Amino acid sequence: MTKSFEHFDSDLCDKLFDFIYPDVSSMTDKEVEAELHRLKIDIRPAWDKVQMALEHSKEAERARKDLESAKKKRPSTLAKLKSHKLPSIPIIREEMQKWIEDHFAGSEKAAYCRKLEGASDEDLKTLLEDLFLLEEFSKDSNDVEA
Amino acid sequence: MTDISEITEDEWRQYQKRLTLHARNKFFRLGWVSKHGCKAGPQGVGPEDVASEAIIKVIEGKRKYNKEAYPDFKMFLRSVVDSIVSNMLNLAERKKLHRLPNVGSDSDETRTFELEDNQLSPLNNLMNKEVVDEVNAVLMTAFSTDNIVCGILECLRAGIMKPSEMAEYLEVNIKDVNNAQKRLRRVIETKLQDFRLEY
Repeated sequence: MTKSFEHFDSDLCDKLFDFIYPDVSSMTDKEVEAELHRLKIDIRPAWDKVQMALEHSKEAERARKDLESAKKKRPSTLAKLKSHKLPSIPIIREEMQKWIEDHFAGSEKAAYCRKLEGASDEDLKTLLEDLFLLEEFSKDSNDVEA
Repeated sequence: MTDISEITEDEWRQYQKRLTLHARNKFFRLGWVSKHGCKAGPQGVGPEDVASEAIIKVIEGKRKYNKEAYPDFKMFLRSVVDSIVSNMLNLAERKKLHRLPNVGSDSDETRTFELEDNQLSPLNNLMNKEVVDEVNAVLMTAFSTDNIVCGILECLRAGIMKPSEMAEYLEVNIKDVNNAQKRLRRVIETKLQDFRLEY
């Protein structure tokens, strides 16, 4: 009988392992559970890592969708900006000056006034456009939340 | 199932369990057998960790599902596990080589030696031989007078893999083959626990 053990090579060893451990795909869920139990393998800590990865993946997917929808809305928002008539710069400058005077006093008021005087018309125009865009985007996000 | 985002958490959990067993079988073949609650692989990695790593790689898109190469998604997942185990084996080999005294030259001639895909390196081959010899020794010691086990080995050599076909060939009841299968598993597992390759 010892002949059976002669020429026990790597190929035969592979076959023996395939025989004593049948292909996992042919096992039922119950058999899989029983085998894990028999081997005393606790998959929970490793499973926690998978769950974390799943959560991250869901968050990334949500962020990707938000970005996509923002991308889609961008042309229409920019078109709105183009068609929107911004108030004339001298009027804005006057209103801002008044607002600073009403809300600040002393050195703080002086500092803001100096800053306003130093700002060019182009700076104010850009600031107004940014404010308009912020307002538009916050409207969009309120719509999504609603 | 091709869209990863459509796979539910429950399905991933089932994959995790099955991949753990698949990795465990691979570990066992490599002689990485857990003992006294210690994890079996190099650096204390367990088969469940390999299963998780494979799934996370797929979820994070580091391993993209190629439906043409693997029409069955489960086969694809198993291939990811195989690849991780293979990398672990190579890493273990490099560490082992690092510990050996440097007796060869560092010339370009020695560096150009490259292995083909799926070919074991000389050191891994040696480690594989150690496992094969150990299993053979276990068989010789525990089963040399076991007619059924000897018959099973003959069947395996002849390419007969199914217990039902073995039972027919050996003219025994299939229960006898199934019991021998359990005996083999129990004895080889126990004996291999005492045999641990150094990584």
